[in-house]
Amino acid sequence: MHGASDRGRGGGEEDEEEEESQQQLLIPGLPDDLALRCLARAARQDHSALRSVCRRWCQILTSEQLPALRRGLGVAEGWLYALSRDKSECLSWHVLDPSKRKWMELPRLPEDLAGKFGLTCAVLGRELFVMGGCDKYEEPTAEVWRYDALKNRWSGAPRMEVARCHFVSGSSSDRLYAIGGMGLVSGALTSWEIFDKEKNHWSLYNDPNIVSDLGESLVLDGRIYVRHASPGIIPPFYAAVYDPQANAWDALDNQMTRQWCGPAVAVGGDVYMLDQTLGIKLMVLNRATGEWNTVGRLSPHSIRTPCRIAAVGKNLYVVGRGLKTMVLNLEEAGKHRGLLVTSSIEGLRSVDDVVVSCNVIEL
Amino acid sequence: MVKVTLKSAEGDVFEVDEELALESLMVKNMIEDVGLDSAISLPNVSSTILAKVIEYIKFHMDAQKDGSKKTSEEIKAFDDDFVNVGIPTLFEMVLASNYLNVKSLLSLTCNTVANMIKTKPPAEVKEMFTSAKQAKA
Repeated sequence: MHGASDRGRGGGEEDEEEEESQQQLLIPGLPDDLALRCLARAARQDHSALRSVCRRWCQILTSEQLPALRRGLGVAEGWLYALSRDKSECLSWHVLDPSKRKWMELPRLPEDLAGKFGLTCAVLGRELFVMGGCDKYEEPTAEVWRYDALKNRWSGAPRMEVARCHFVSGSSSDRLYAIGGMGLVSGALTSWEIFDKEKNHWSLYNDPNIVSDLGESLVLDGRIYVRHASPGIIPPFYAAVYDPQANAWDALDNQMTRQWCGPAVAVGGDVYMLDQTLGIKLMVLNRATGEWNTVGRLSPHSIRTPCRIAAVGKNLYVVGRGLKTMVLNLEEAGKHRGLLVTSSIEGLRSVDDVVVSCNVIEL
Repeated sequence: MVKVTLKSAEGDVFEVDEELALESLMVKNMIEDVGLDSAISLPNVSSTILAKVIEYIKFHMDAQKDGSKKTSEEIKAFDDDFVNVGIPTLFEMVLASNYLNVKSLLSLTCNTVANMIKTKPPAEVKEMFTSAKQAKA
């Protein structure tokens, strides 16, 4: 290979010059484009150590281009971010690196969220957004916080246009949605807001089709489905779907929404849902008929409700009390009938903590 | 079997099966452009490295063939051994697999560099590459 080192070596001065230019390379001995490919392949758990190697590595490893590069190379890794509430109503954040199989504590929010309820979390790109919520007197807030997974840092985000709590959210492409919930004076809200990351601000819209007392949301094929909190509620107004093209909501009542009674997640083309009404059942949506079919049951001895569900690659993560987590390989699931074959990940020491939300950030 | 002649930086000639040569997308494009009549000149790849690249492609082609008894452990063992080289050689393989456009080898070699980085304390990482470079020069 004809690198710089193969050139004729002259006096000491030239050596020094070469030395200097080598120091500026990301990896001395490799052109930057290839060095970047190597750096991008480093496991996500090593990034924090690699950031301290030098200023340029830090820049690269926290740059906007890194997530896309890692996705392109097929080495992006999804980590789970869970918010949980303890007995004294304090909220805390934990992160799970699936390769380490251990929940680790995240830096605390700059503001104390103790005693806050009804807040909502969603992921947009490499950031986790924590929106709204209320105190025990049901006084809602429009505050939003953002956690940057690349920089491992919390910061304030633009406030929503309307203070809301007990609402749902969703994200698709470059937009984040805050939908419905309870407001300051008017009670149930029929408004929703879109956060545009580029413009860094919220836009407010209103639609009477937005259901009150929203419990769950699901992003599927670019559309957002929302459903009333109570699984037993009957038609007509208990579910709606949002079409981003039309920027409008339609009331919805079909097989899928009628049986939808718990947290759901889309994995590739499939949709999984946790039915926690009697024990814990994992359901899969039959896209043709809209029916939810049972994949299997989770043993109540291994995990306790309420649970949240998240997906990383071909694995489903069911996170229950105390962040005790059951991992289910989707290629294996469905091969056996009845009780699901899972592996478990140890939870926190405070086994009764309630998981409020669980989201995945891929980097 | 149609043969392709590859010529290294030093002018050494390597005669390989066409099937093998096509694993390099760069060589494939050259063959499509100029045909098989003349030797394909690879001025950016030394004889040592070209021999290694050929060895790598050959092993993986054989392993993928029907009737191959190679287990995934054996393939991994080959790969681990293949990249168990000094930093200067490893970098030359990164450059060569990029130039020749052999995707799997580029992934393997880049991964190896990435793994090398993570096993070192931050203060020693760059030092490791710089001293490897000086040792070579």
